[in-house]
Amino acid sequence: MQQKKNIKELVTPLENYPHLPYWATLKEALIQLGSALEDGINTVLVFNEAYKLIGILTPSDILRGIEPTFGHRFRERAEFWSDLLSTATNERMMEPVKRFMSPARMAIDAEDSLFKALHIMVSEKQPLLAIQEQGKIIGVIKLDTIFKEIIEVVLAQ
Amino acid sequence: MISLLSIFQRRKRSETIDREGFVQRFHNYQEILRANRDALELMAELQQKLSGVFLFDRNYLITTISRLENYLRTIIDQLNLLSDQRYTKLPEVLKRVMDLIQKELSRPQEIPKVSFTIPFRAIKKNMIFSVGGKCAHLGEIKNTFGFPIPPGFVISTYAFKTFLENNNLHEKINHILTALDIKTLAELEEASKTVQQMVGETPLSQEIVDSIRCSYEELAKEVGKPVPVAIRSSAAQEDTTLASFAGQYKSFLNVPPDMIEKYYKLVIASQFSPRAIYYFKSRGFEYSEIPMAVGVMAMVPVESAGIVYTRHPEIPQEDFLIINAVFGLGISAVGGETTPDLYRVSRKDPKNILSQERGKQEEVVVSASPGTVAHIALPPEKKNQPVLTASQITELSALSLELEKKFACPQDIEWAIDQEGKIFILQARPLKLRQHDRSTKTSTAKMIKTNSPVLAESGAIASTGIGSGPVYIVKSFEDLKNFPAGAVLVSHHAPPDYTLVVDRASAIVTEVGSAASHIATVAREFMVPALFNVSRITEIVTPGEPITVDAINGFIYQGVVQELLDSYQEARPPFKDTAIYQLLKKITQYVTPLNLTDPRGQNFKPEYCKTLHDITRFSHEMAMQEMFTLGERSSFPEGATKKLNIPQPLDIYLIDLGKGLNEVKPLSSGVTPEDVKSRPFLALWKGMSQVTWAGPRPVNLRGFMSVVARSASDPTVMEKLTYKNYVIITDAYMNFSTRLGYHFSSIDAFIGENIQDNYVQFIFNGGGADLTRRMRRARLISMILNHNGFNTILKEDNLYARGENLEAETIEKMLIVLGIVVVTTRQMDMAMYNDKIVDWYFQEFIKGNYSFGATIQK
Repeated sequence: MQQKKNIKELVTPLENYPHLPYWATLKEALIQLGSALEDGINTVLVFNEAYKLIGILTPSDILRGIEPTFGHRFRERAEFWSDLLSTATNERMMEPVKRFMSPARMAIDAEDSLFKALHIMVSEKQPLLAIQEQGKIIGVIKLDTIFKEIIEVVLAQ
Repeated sequence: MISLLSIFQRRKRSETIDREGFVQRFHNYQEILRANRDALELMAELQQKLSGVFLFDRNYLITTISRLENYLRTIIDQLNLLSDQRYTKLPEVLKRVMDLIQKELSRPQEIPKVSFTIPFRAIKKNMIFSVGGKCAHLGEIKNTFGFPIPPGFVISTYAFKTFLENNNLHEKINHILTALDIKTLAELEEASKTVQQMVGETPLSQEIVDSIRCSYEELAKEVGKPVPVAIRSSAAQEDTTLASFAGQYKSFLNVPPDMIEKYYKLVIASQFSPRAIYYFKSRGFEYSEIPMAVGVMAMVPVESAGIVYTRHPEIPQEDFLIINAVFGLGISAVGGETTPDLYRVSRKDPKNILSQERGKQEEVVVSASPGTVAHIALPPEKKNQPVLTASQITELSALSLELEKKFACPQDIEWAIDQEGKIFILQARPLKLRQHDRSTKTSTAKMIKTNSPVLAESGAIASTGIGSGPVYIVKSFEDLKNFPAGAVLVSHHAPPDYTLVVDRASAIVTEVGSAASHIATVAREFMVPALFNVSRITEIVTPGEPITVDAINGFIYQGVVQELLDSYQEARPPFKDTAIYQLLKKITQYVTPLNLTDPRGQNFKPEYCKTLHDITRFSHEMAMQEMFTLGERSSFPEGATKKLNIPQPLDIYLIDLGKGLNEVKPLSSGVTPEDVKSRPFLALWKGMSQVTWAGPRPVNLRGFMSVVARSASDPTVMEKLTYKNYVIITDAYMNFSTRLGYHFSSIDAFIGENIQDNYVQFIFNGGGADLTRRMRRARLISMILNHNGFNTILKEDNLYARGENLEAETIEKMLIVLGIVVVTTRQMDMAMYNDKIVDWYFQEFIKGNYSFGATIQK
């Protein structure tokens, strides 16, 4: 089994993801994610006004936005969706996603190794990384994708 | 290429326009609007004449056409000034159309070569230029409809022509009349006397004399013995003033056979009375353009005579006819001192005599010595006796109604009854009804009392008539594609695009509109009834439900009101067979038809303009497009602009071209929205300021050029960097070109005093996201605007939207929507992940929820 694929071969184009500007509301993010999940995509990319990728939104980010206690240690309490939704007030739904996204701090070059990408993802707790080529963002690489590669290599040994 | 989409192609024109240039062009544009409005109004007037209800003369045609030409010239000149001479083909196009019109106008009326005399029984409908209007009618009454008229014949216009051409009479008369100054009464009288004398002294050629004698012999044979005749003029021109003037031409009664030639010449000579000469000279006619035919009719040994009006001229909607009757020769011969008998008879049932008023007749007029009549005392036994018996009244009424039906319009009939009780028609002509206001009810159709529910009872009549069919509500251009033939087009308003289906519609009803709009013009062209300004009609009617539109009295009924439709068919004014009407018809074919119906069509080009209407339509469209790009091409010095002080993170600079701003302190460089007086801008701003400004200031592109692939390769970026949001305003106008982020949008709007001038147009394109997302956003905006009454054209990520011919309040509402849209959809292209997302945003908009994005404090 050859360990071949570099980052460029595994890139997912940005267009495949839902996008939002960072000032979009949580409500809009919910709508986007709801639609994306049907396509098997669970991340919303967040851009700034210059169409630069500045963050990603996962379902957990959004849940944290709706219900801040999700960010804290779990304590026993009445668990009904209605309780959760009652805290998802209109006001909260109108908060900008910027507040809840995970910043896309790093970008990695298309020529870099998968190993480097994996290292950054694990250490920075990023489920995906932006990939740039000659200064331009050409897409993202997902942890899942790299992980599949690793499984193949490990099982082949 | 599709011309409208050329808006999307950024014009590459090196020169920029300064403030003065802009003011000048704005003025050009205003001139185009004004001339366009005037031209359409004149076209409407011509079409109104085409209905045959209103009378007019040649002079009217000449002046109307010349006024139209002037308006068209103004439109073209101003458009070329506005566009830096982009439409140099238009003057040629106008000239080509005008040449065709002038050819018709200047074409001399040909006098057909026919026999010198024509018996009444041989007159055919198309002989009006040979036998004159009066005799043509008589011929039709006898030969087509089979009603009794006295035997007789016509001395034709060809005889008239021949008579004048012989002996150089024509040249001699022309010589005198050309040199004549008609303003000098003495000169006029002198000339009249000379010409009349010349006519009297010039002998008729032997051929004409022979022809007259031959025809008289036939007449005598038909009557059974030689009888005296009546000699009457029958002019071939029948325009209004001339027709009323024609009454001045002489008629003679009781003329003996051997004196027909003499009296014939006396009738001819009456055409050269001082008044007659004054009339045709002052109107720019040649006398030979008014050829005269003369009718020769056997004298009926009358017992009684009179007039029938098949309707009351003042109250034509009432259901009775009127008969005037006297003993002896007709009322016109009697004079004012006699009051004739007056009978009112039901039109539904001629046996039903509604009223009889006995007249007061002391004298009776009878034929006397050759060429004269005499007044003798009414025999005493007749004094207390009605002129007509009940059965005569009924017979005469039935006959008159029959005539009205045949001629398809109310009649003014001159009749006589001979000593054996036989009825003769001496003359029949359309009854002159009281003139009504052009925009209100015409009197040719009666009001029908119907039990059908009235859906609407107000509205402006844009095209007269009555039509019915199933309701088809048109909300956008798209709806037109499935327009079913025979349906009633119901819409809020009717932009020029809708003209595409007018010929398929049975009627048109709108909530707003102008009788001088394109669609009204086309509706009249196709004789499709149109009722405008019917409030809330789109809510009142249900699609598919049949309705009847009475665009004569201004009512809309539920269902098909058959009796109303029938009555209209009955009362429809006849196509006049007068020369002047025919001329109007010929001319209007170069004036009113609209061939350039679709700005997106292949033929929307100057070279395809076939009519004056085409030229105005094309020019108006191009003028609007020019205005669109004007803002973008303009550049103004700092001092000429005022910054709008607003909390929103947006730099707007106002350029006031006139009355767009309150008096502002000269030193202040900024103004507040309260200082703005521009009606379109205020509406737009109302929309822009009522939604949250989400996100940061519009981007400064300098900082991230390196990150954005699109910008880096886009040569116009430098241009974009220096871009400011300029709004050019007057009190009634606004042109707002802006780049908020990556897209370009431009709004151009006018709200004036006339509905047909009002419009808003919007162009939008571009974005920072990938093309698919940009296209989805353009589609979203298109859906929102469509929902709010705009007509839209979408091509990839280019959107063009327009609303026009709408009342001021509607344009304002549309501008408010645009204000909301331009702010909220800023950079929304990013979010257009798929079509479901497009729908979600659309639904939110429809619900009035515009809270997309949150305010970001930096």
